Amino acid sequence: MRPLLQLAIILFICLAGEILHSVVGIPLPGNVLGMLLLFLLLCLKIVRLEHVEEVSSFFLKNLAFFFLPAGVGLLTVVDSLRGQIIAIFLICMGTTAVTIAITGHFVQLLNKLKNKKKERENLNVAILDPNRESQKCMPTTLKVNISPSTKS
Amino acid sequence: MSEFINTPLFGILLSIIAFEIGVWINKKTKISLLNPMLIGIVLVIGFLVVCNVKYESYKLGGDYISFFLAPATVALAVPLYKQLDKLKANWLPILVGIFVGSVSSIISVIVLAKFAGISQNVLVSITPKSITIPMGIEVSRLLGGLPAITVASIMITGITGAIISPIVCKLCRITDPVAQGVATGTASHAVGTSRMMEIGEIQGAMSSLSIGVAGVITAVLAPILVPLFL
Repeated sequence: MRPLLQLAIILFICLAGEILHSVVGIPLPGNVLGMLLLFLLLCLKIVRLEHVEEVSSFFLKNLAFFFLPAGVGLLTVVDSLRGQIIAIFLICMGTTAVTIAITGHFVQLLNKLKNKKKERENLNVAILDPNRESQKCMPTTLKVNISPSTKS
Repeated sequence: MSEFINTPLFGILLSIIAFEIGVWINKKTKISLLNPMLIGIVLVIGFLVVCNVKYESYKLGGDYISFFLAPATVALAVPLYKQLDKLKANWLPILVGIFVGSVSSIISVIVLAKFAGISQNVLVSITPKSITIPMGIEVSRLLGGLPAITVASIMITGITGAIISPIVCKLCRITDPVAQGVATGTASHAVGTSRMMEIGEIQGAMSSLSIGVAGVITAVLAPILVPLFL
């Protein structure tokens, strides 16, 4: 699809997000609602990937650039925060590192636990299945039984 | 000259040139601390201060760029959709992780700010610093904070997250791409996500998912947690 039309689709979804926020009154920002809406439309296959892919990848490849003016805006509050600005900087930076470390470790740990559980379930299946067959043929199943359990 | 400065062209061109210089420096040095966005911000601020140009003149063009933040945020749905399988397979660890991350962000801010002797209205303003700007402003207002300080703290957090996230992940041996993405998105919203996009599709998708979820969790929890500590 032509890029201009792709842009129109995305802008239309932005508009829908804003309407959901201010007219319908959903207490989430319009752009976050727009993101959820596009996600939903993609899942329901109403919007296809090729309808938005090129323009999206342009935005996403340059995402950091679009935040530049907001960062320059820091200039305007420096004066009003004199005395506290260094503390605010340090607090924001320190807590960000702490949050990343805690969240990352937590998700990684949960994922590992889940994968272990899955492995165990898979093992059970592997052990159970040959057992059923073992009534027909004994020797091969023994090998199958031992090899996965010794690995773990 | 002043006619040129007082058109949107000035702010837009200055931003693009500053950002591209940042990209160039980043490529040459390969130092992750020298992130294109950070260099761009420093160069623009430096230029405005040295040449004595008013922020309002820059803002004429800057607003055009900021306008595209909305469609850019919407576009985050695309990598999320592409990683749908990963999301389905890991939804519980992801959700629990974002919840834990949001709580630790709120509590660590309050504790550190109290320790540093920050005044109360500033403290409540920086409490939602890990979530996306439009949501953070609402939470700040709800708590009786000052939106300008909230925006500043959110930007500082975002830039910090974008720069240090890969470093923290390395130091803490967080190697799972899902965990990296969730951690960065929860701690440093869309600005951190912009960095994750550069690192990998899984990281980017998980990070973009975390922006909205962390925002909702913080909006619900901050008004409950803040009074407990004050």
